[in-house]
Amino acid sequence: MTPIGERPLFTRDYDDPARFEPAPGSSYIYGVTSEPRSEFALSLPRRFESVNFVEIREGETGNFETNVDGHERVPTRRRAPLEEFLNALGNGVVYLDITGLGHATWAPIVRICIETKRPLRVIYLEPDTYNETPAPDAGHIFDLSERIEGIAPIPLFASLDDRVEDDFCFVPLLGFEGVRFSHMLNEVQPLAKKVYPVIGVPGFRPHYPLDAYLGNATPLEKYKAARNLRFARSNCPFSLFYALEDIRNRYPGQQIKVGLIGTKPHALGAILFALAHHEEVEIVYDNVKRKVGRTTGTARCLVYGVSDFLQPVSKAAA
Amino acid sequence: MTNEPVIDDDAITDPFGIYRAEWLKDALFKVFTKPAYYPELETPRPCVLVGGRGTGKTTVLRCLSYDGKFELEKHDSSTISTWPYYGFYYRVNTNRVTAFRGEELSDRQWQRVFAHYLNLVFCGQVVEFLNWHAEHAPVPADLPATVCRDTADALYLDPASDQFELLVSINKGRRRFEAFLNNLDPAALPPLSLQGQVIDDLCQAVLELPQFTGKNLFFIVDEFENLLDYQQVILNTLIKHCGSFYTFKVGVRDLGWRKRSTLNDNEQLVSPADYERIDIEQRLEGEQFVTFATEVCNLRAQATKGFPSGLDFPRILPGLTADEEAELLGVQDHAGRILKTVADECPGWLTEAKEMAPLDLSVVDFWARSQQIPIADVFEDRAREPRSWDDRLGNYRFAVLFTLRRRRPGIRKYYAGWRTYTLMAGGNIRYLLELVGQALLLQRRNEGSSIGEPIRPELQTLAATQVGRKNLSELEGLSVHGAQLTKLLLGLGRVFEVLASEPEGHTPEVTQFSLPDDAPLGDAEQLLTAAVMHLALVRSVANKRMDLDLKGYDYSVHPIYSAFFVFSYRRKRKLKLTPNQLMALVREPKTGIRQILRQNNRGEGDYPLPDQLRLFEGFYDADR
Repeated sequence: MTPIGERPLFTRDYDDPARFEPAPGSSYIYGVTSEPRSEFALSLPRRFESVNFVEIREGETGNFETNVDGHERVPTRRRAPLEEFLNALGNGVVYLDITGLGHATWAPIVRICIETKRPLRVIYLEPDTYNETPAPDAGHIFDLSERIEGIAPIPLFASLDDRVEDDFCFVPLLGFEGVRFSHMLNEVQPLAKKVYPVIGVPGFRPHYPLDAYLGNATPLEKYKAARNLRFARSNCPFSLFYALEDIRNRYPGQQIKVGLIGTKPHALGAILFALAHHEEVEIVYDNVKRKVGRTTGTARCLVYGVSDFLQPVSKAAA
Repeated sequence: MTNEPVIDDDAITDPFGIYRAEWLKDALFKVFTKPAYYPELETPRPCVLVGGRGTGKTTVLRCLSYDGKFELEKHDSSTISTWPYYGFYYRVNTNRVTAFRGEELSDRQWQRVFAHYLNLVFCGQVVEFLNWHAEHAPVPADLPATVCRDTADALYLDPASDQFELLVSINKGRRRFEAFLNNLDPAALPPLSLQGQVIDDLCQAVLELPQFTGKNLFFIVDEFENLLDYQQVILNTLIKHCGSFYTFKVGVRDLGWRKRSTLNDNEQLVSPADYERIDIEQRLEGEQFVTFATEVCNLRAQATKGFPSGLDFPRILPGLTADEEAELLGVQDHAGRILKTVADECPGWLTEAKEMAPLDLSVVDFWARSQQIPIADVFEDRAREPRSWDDRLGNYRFAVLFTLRRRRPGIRKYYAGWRTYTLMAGGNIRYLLELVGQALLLQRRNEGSSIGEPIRPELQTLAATQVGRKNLSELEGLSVHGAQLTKLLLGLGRVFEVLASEPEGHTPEVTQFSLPDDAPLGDAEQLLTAAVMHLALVRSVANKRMDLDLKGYDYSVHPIYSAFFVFSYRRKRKLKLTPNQLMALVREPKTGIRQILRQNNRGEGDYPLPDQLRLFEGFYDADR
């Protein structure tokens, strides 16, 4: 097995986000939330006039709204309107800033871009600080109903492939909230020995991996899953992709159910993995509701060369 | 039950440490104990098995399936032809069924789409079974080519001339169908089969094969509650009209069967006309549960390396008489204080008082304080009416145990004994295994004593407290509404704990509540439903009208939480709560608890939290 450090990673990392420059003639898709880092895109149009900036507003499940004429409301569970929306942006590179977008919005766009072979770069901005410690205290009651809508497929990623427990592995990408992990375990019902949790290491902050471990300690212990822990850099979708490949290589022919509870870059890695191996991968997502004002500031800007990465991988998989 | 094989599977080296059927895998079948209601499930009638998490539904349903039965028969192929039925197990997966919704299609279109999906699923299971049969049975089944072709046609699949090709076609068809769900277009629906028709035809053809003449086919649907409402209606329609070629065995949580109608709004599924309802907790009450639990524990112990066979659980888990328990709770100190009072106030009764058991003397003292009368009056009353005093002793001895160490750190009440454990489990086999397993674990860690020796009551109590705590913490993740359930439980638990520790002048052992008939439930309806489904609460019939009518029941906190909160595990007397009070426990716990206590004549006194509740001090101290 090749160490991850020796495998190609397609990330450009800007310590100063202001140094990021989108290519002329490209499109930049973004959404703005209450988090300051999601407003990064708003600072760009002044500086890059040749770039087509498209703001997305998330509405009801299964749709998003845009400021593109003729595509004010784009359904996400049908391919044609998504393709038409992307076609309306021209042929240039698509930059998809996922910082302020939910998985149910950006993941279908990634899928269509990859399937239509568009050059796609995904942007992610790390926050400067979190307003509060992300790990819930012991004794704190964690209200899932305020945080999630429940398990349901991400548009364009529904799977009907029923396998018995022997024939799948469950790979939860862990965040800090052990209750979400417990909830997924209750729904997925994997065999204890085939749970392969992934923690983001290194994390955005040095203590985050430990926070993630502690936050998930109860379900990890219950399933004795700590023995199967895997690690992937928390801001790197490609490291996660490789970690998933390693699990897949260990269990050839098995279905890999990936639970999206962790970082957005990890979720992106899982989505790319599902695109590369769609018949063997099921995405499990609990449809988290965004919490207002969770972070302050903007730290680094990461640009992931998704289409450059995935096309050779897809060819190899084929 | 003798000569069972030793299970060489690390999943159950600790036989009481793994509870879920889903985790035990093949070992599940080796430790399976048939409950008394099992034969009813084997009849050719539709059955609905109702039970909370941990009651053994999945275990039982899996053992009904053909692969489960094969495991139970220890892979003896020669028995396959003798089985009276063949069951196909299907667990409803939330991530599948929630794909079948969205504004893109109309309700009617979703019904048709889902019905077609069910046809694919159920036919797939039948064909998978036939292929399994072909591989395992001495005389393999061979579905005629015409049937394979017709089934493929009816499901709009690629042609198939034998059952192996048919399975490949079904899998391909499922993938095509998946592609449709990932590109929803109301104007381009795929061709959809007629609900149930193809299942009827296929099952009829199977039963016409010589291997299956006179046999029954079961579709086993587990976790029925995961289906969306309209999907339950579709399944109900199949159950109602399943005819003679197959039947359904459904596993569902209490209150998880939300829709009882079929696609014809005027048609309801009713028991016993349309199905047999088997309520696990009702079927395994009292002695039946004790017998069942003993068998389950013995079999688990017997099937595991390093466990002595023939473990005597009542001996390993000795109980305490009320007097023994009172002794451990320091009743002698109370008795000494009471004797001093008697000597001071009414020395004529001192000799009799000294001859009484300390706990009985404490009841005398308790009664004097409750009635706010001199203790001498109680002695006189006792001498005058010994029979009614005996009744009073019967009513209050247990309640007084909760007062001996109230407001003090450490153990305030003991929860020990095999019989007590079975009551705390409340008919739930997983809870019982957790209690026994935790007690064995603590014994091993704390004493180094060997398995089979009696476990001290302190350790049994600690184990019971820890199991309560563990299940409380797990509630949060069990459902999307888990936090509300946790808050409700923390609120009710605290109320019943204070009522138990301060019984003077009140009805003893209040452990249940009921709701007024005339108040609308409002938000409390969803909360109560979730609480019953996830076993935060148990309900018992008060004046039953219909099982979906929440008001006709008495509710109590599940007894598995009794040691954690320190109240009685026995279902005894009840208080009235309004739906608003229930919601207040969730929204403003401090105010809500205080209001209920005040209504029940417990003042503003200081009731320190038991040690194990200190973790939730923040919850009890602050309202949002």
